[in-house]
Amino acid sequence: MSDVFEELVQKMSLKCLLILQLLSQLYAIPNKMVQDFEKPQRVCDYCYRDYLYYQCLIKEQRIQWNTKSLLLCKFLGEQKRIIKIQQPLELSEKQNIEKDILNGRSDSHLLNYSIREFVTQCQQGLKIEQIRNSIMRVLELFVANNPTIGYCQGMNLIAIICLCLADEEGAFHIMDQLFSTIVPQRFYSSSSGAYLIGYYAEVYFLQEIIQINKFKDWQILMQFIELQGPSLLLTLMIQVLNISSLLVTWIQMFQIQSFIPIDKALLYTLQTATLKNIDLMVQFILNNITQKQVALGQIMILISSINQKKSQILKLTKLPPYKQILKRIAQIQIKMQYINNINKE
Amino acid sequence: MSRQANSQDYDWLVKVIVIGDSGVGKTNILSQFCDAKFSITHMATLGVDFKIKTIDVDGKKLKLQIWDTAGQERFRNITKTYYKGAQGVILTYSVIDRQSFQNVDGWLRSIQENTNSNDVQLVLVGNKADMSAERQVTMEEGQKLSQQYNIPFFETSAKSNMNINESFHNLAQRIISTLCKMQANDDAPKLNLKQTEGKEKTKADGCC
Repeated sequence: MSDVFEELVQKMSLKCLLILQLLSQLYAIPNKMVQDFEKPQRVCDYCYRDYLYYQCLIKEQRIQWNTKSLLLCKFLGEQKRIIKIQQPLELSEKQNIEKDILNGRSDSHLLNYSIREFVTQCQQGLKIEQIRNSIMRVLELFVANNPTIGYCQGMNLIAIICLCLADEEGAFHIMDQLFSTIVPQRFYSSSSGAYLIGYYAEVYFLQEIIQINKFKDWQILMQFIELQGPSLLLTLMIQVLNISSLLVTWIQMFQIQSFIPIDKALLYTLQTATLKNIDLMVQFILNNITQKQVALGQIMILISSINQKKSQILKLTKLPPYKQILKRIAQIQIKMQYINNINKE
Repeated sequence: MSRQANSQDYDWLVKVIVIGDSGVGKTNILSQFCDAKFSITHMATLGVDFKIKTIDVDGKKLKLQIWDTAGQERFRNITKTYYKGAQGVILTYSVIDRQSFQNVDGWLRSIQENTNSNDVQLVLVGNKADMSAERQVTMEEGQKLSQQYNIPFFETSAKSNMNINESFHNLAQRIISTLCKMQANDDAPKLNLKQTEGKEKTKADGCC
């Protein structure tokens, strides 16, 4: 399975190297491919298009680290936002956050190429301590305000993107809205015995879509999603998509107040990755997604079939046997939430 | 997901998982063992990553498929699903993180609950031993715990490559020993292992 995936990645990289263009300036710490950082760097068409997209975005939307950008309105609307409460944070949660931030595990150079470049550019001129402290404050405030959700690894990446689009207060509000209205219920569940139960439901949902729509190499994709699901879904695709695709997906997610754009982006990525090397940098990725097999109507048909066959599907679960009943109920509830979301649309 | 290209034949393919609390250095232990690399900062492992390395143990080529798991408590249910089919476990704590040492009991219980513990070999590893100024767990405490559970124990440093190879080789030797015993008792089918000597050599003898 990994062989297939790596082969695909290598093919994509090769394509990137074949079509070269000059890029005027890079901000991020270079990877091993870059021989001389002082010289103008060469990038492929895809990366160059992505670069142009976020350069334009940074300029037009006045994007800067820990600063309210114009893009913030697309996420939260125009209403005034006030932080009303601040509860003390549990020590263990504080330690978990510190582990992921203060030890440098959320520094921009660890992100994938496109996001790394974008984030580094937003953070230009700031000290690393300032950057880490702002991420810490946003996460601590979020966890204090949402103690039942708590801190889960992957949220640090979400906070980084939020801080590129807004100041600390705005970043908190984006996260708060994201987790209260968009992310499926109990997606990051911290309940002992039912950890990440909503995430599991999402994985089964995606696996079913892959299987029913008979994606190419669907069995491999199902295994892949089971193994790599956490890094794909718990980060809301941050380490998977380039920045232009990510922002388009996130804006769509906030506009329709639904997690479905993430599902679509993931399915589209997997499908196209196995079919052929399609340009995933296209800004209007979601328009393309709707034309594909994962169209809304099919999702609805799928969900109804899931509910009809729920007992059969739930037998496929590989979760530990305990708390099984509770999980089944939650899975059904989450499926129902999808139906409701689709109906609203 | 990482993979180390390796075209060599092997006698045994075994699955090893590396577990332990978040931030104890599991990913760096793996990077040091498989790629001779160490990085001060790296992204937290979400879910799982794995590497492959073939080593010689007692004249046998052992292909280790090593699974690097997420350490945060919230990923415990996910981690448990990776125990299936594992023949070896590297249980890691950090000598500069007392809590990670105290959680070793919990990890051991988890192994007992989710594997046939008689068939699974364990090594207890106290990582970050190079950071003596910040040490919170003594070597004696680690040894005492390992004796209590009858598990081999190593204090390691992924940074300075101290005892990393030794830990894996110790584990590998005991895995082979178990596999040989199982085979001798005709119990081999019970294990999820693959003895590919014949198969791979047939391939090599082919027309190409």
